[in-house]
Amino acid sequence: MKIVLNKERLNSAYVQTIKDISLQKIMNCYQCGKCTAGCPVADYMDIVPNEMMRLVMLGEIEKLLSSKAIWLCTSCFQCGTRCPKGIEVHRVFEALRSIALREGKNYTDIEKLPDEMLDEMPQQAIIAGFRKFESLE
Amino acid sequence: MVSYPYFPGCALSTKAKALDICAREAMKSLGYELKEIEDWTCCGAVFSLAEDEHIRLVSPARTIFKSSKVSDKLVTLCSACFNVLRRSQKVLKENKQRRERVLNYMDEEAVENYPENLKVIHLIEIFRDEIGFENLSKEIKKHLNGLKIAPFYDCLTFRPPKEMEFEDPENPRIYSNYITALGGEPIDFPYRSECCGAHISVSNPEVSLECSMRILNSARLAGAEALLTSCPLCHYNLDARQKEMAEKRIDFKPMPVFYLTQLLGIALELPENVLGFEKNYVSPLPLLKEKGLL
Repeated sequence: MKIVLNKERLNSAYVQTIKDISLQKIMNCYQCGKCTAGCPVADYMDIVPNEMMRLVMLGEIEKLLSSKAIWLCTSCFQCGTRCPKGIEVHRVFEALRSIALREGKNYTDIEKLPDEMLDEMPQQAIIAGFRKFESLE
Repeated sequence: MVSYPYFPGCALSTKAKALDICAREAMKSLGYELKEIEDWTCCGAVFSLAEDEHIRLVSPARTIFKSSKVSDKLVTLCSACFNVLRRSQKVLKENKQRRERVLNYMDEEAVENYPENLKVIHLIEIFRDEIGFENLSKEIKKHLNGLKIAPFYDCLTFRPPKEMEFEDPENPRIYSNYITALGGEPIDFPYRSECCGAHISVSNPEVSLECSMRILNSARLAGAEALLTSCPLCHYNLDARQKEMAEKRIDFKPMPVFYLTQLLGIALELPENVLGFEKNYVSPLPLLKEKGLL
């Protein structure tokens, strides 16, 4: 993977938005990998949590916005709980999802969810799904 | 009779009725009342992790304000409601700037008297801190003798620890102590605090199915006969979806999943219509009959 480093990219509007929404000190990450080790869905991710942190540092935000990983995060808060540097990694995931959703890139389509699933699932899951995967618009 | 304002939430009013009804009836038989607060609205199901989404705090703030008229505590039982209300209250208490923005959307009365010191508590905190597990043990009518139950420590009740201020999520004991108080045998297991897959069941159901299957297998290998949870979503993933697990794995063995309050209901000999086992996908009745508990 070829990455070009330049000032514009490292301080892009995307990077600033992630910092503003998540309030996390991204540069504190030293790549120990504990977030990934504890992540229950890392096995299924195309970009695992510590890689995500690295890519945010490098300003490679578009790669993350088009990843599957940001939508697989279950918000279990394990990554942030175990981070030795006190970074709430889950908030960085949320910031990435928020950017995508605010650009109108929904991950699910309410109308296409099977009726059987909606009948059986508790409201909590359905509302959480809409909150995490659909935009406010 | 001591009365607590109670926020049942959406799931407990519909799909997770057994969790709710057992809680109310069990508390009644212990001499307490859970008084549902009037005109409550959905908590929002997930606590917003985006620092600029102030509007997400309005619904929790309204619920908290309503309950403050009757008590300085608000009791809830659904893990999601507990997570959202407890974290929202922490923000509203500690972040003056965000509190002021949220109060713009509330009545004048709330603006002047926002209850910063109200504490959102989980029902199990009443058992642990106010009644005490030892006293609870004396109140029960039927010991859950020999029932091997794996306590499942859902994410939302325990994490993030700095915001929830509940119990150490790396070494939680509370459900274990609760099971012991009811006379059952708690079975610790490696995946006791691993995520069940939560709401990704909406978008990636095959992934959450794997997550939940790992948890059930881990509990079984540790020797558990049943699982305990306080979260309606974990219950859906771990109980209702056992149907799919059985289709996927030929060697999969079903395991009943109890709600936190159903176990107390059995121990207090509440009637079967209150226990609501007909809503459990894997019926706990054969296990309970085998153990002589029904």
